[in-house]
Amino acid sequence: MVDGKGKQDAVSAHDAGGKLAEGIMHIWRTQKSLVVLLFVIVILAFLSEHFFTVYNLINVARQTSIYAILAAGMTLVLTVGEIDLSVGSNAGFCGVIAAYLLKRSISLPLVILIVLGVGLFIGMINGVLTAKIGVPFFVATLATMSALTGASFLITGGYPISMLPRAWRVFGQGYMWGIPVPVILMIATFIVLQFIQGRTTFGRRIYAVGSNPRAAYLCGINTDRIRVAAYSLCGFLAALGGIVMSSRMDAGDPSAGSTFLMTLVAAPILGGTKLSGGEGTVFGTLIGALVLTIMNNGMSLMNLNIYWQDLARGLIVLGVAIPQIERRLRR
Amino acid sequence: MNDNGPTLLKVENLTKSFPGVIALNNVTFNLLKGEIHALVGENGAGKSTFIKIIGGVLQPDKGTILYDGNILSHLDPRRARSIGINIIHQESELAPTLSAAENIYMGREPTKECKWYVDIERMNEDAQEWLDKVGADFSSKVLVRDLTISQRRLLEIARAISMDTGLLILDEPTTAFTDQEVQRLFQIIRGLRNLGVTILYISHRLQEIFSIADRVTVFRDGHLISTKHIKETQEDELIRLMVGRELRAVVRDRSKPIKNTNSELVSVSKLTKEGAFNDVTFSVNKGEILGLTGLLGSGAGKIGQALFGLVEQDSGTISLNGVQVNLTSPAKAMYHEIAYIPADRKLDGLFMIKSITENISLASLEQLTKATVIDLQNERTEAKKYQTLLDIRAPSINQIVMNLSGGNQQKVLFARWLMKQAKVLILEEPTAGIDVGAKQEIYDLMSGLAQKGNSIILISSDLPEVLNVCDRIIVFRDGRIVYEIPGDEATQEIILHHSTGLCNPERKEERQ
Ligand SMILES: Nc1ncnc2c1ncn2[C@@H]1O[C@H](COP(=O)(O)OP(=O)(O)OP(=O)(O)O)[C@@H](O)[C@H]1O
Ligand SMILES: [Mg+2]
Repeated sequence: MVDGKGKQDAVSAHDAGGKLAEGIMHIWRTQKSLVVLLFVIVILAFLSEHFFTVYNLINVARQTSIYAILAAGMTLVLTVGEIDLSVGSNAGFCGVIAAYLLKRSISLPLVILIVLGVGLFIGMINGVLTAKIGVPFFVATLATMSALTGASFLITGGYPISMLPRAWRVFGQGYMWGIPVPVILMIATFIVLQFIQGRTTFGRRIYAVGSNPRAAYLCGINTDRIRVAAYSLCGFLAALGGIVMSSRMDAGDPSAGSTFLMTLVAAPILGGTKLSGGEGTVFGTLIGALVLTIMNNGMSLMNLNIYWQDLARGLIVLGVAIPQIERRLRR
Repeated sequence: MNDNGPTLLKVENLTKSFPGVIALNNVTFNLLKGEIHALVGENGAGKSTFIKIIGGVLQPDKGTILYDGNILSHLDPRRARSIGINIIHQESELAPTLSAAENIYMGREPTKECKWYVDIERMNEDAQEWLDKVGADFSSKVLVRDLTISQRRLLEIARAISMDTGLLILDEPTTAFTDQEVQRLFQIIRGLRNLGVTILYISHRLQEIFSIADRVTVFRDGHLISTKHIKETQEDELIRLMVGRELRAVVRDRSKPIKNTNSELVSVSKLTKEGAFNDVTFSVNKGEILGLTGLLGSGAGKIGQALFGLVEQDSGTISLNGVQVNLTSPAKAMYHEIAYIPADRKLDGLFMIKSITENISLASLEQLTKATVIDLQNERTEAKKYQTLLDIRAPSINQIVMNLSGGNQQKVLFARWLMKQAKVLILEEPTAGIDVGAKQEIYDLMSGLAQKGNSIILISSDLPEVLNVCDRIIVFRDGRIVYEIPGDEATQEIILHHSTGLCNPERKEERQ
C-alpha cells in the first residue's frame, strides 16, 4: 500500500492553527439557520421585554406548529429534488373535508382517518403524475394546487364551514401537560421524520435520488417509488396540518393555506435544504420555521406594520441563499 | 537540466490548501514555449488543483503566476481563456441537454449579419468539421446526454482545438480511450505543437507520457518533486518518484490454481439488440476474469449494460447458474447478485454532495440494517474498512465526494461494489483515473475475488490492463464477437488486429 504518512503529518501541523477558525466556519456553514435564530432571539430579547415571557414563547411555538408540520413534508419533496406547490391548498382542502364530514356527524376518529387518507392520496397523485407519468413537477403540483383550491370553494360554497364539534378543538387549541397539542404534534412529527431521514434506508434513498437520480437507479433503487413515497408523505403531513388548522380556526375555511407557499419554501431553505435536491434535514426546517415565526412575532411586539414582515422574510431568505449561489459558481 | 528557450508559464511558490489538506505546497514550476510537458503523480498529489489554479478555476493561497511575462492575479476562467489558456478538465464539463455543436460554440456562437441571430447551419457545419478532425463517429447535432463517455471526451477535445489557444491543458483526456483514439489524439497534439501551442498533459498511463512528452514533472503530496527530460528517465524512476519507494511490476499472478473452473456462472446466448450488439454468445465460469474489448462502439460496453438490466435485448437469453433470468432493471440484476461499475463515475456513479460513507454503503444498506433501521456504527466501520483497503485519501470519511481527487472518487465507486459482495462483477473502466500503485491493489483485489469463485467481466479500453488481468479475452467489432483468446496467449498486436479488422495494423509505425 502507498505511504500516506508524510501527508498526514503535514495536515496535522496545518490544522493546529486553523482549527478554531475552521470550527467556527464549519458551524456557520452547516448551521446557518441556528446562528440566525440565536441572533434574532438576542435582538428581540433586547428590544422587547414581552419576548421572553412563557406566554409569548408558547405562543411562538404554537404559531410555528402548522407551518412547521407542512414545511417538514415539503422538505422531503425538496430533498428528492422536486417541489410540491400544492401543500398549502392540500392542507386547506383537508380542513374543509374534515369540517364537511364533522357537520355530517361522522365520528371523530373516522374523520381523522379519512382526512389523513385523503391528504396522502393527493400526495400520491402528485407523485404518480410526476414520477410515473412524467408531468414536470412544477406543472403537476401547480395543477393540483389550483384544482384543490377550486374543490374547496365548491364544497363550501365559498364560506367557511364553522361551528364544529367542541371535541375537534383539541388538535389546535387543546393542552396536554401544559403544552399546546399542536406543539406536541409538531414535535412528534419532527422526531419521526428526523429518524426516517437519518436512520432508515428510505431516508438514504431519498437523498440518493435527490442528489443523482441516474446513479441511484444504478444502485438498484426504484427511483419512481421513492419519489411517489416522498410526495405521499408530504400529502399525509399536509392533512395533519390541515386538521390542526381547521381545529385552531374552528372552521373549514376554503381559503386557508393558500398564502403559505412562501413560508413553506422559506423555512427549508433557511434550514439548509437545497432546491437542487439531495441536501437538507427536517431538523433544519424546524429551526427555519422558528426563525420565521419569531421574526414575525418580534415585529408584532414592536407594532410594526404587517407588510414589513413580508419584506423582512424576503430579505432573510435571500441573505441565506446568496452564499449558496456564490459557492456553487466557484466550484 | 537545460531550460533553454523562452518560458511561457512561470509559477513561483504556489500554495493552496483545503480544509484538512494542503493540496499544493510551495510549488515552483517552469513551462517552456512549444513543449509538451507531462504531469504525473499519485491520486490526490495535487495535479488537478495545480492546473485549476492556472486556469483561474481556483484561487491560490499564495504564490505568483507569470504567463508570457505578465503576472496573472485574480484570474477567472473567462480571462484565462481570453489570454489563450484552454483546459480540458478531468471531469466532463458539458451541458448534457445541448447538442454537440452548441457545446462547442457555447458563448461564442457564430451569428448572422444581425448579431442577435445564431447561424445554426453554419454552427453545425463548423462543429462537424472539428468533430471529424478528432475522429468522432457522431453528428454535431446529437445531444450530449446521448453520447458515451469516450465520445464526450472527443467532443471536449474538438471544442478545445476549435479555440485560439496558446497553452492547452489536458487532465487525463484518454480515460475510456482505446489505442486508436489515443493515437489520433497524439497526432492532433503534435500538430498543435508544430503550430506553436504549448501543452500540459496529465495522465496515469505512463506509456502515453513516454510516447508524447518532451519533459515530465512529478508531484507527490502537494510537492513538486522533480522535472525530467523524458529521454533521461524511465518508467521505474518515475514510479519511484511518484510513490516515494519501489513498486513491484504490475503483473497478475496466474500461478495460483483457480477453484471451480468450468462451472458456468453466467451464460449469454444469441443476445441481440438492434444497433448495439448482434448474436452474442459467451459464458463466464466461476473464478474467471473475462475481458471484453473492442474499439469505440464495438458493443462490448453495451453487453455489460445488458447484463445489469440497463439495455433491453431484442432477442436472446441470459442465464445464471443455468437458469434463465429476465434482467429488466438494475434492481433485478442486483437481486441475482450482479454488480456493475459504470464507466462514467460522475454521471452514473457517484453522489457528489454526499459523504464517502454514504456513497460506499448505498448499494449495501440491507446488510447494514435491522428492521430498516441503519446501524450507523456498523456502517461507519464497514466504510472505513474499504477506505483503508483501497487507500481512499481524504481528511475524513465524512468528506463529500465532490472534494476528492478524481482517482479517489473512482476508488469510492469501486468500494461501493466491493462492499456489495456480489457473485458476478461487471466492471466498466474500473481503474479510470487511478494511479499505478492503486491499480496494482485493484488487480490484486480482482484476482482475490476470482479466487473465491466470483466471476468478473472486465470491459476496459486499457489494453495492457485487459492483457494483464484477464483469463480469457473476447474481442468485439461492430456489435459482434470476432475473436476469443486465453489471456496468457494474447498480445496487444493480436487484439488490435482483430478489433480493427485490419490485416496488417499500420499503427505500429505511427507509434515511433
Ligand atoms: N474542493 C476541494 N475541497 C477539499 N479538498 C480538495 C478539493 N479539491 C481537491 N481537494 C484535495 O486536494 C488534494 C489534491 O487533489 P487533486 O484533485 O489536485 O489531485 P490529483 O493529483 O488531480 O489526483 P487524481 O490523480 O486522483 O486526479 C486531494 O487530497 C483532494 O482531496
Ligand atoms: Mg485529478
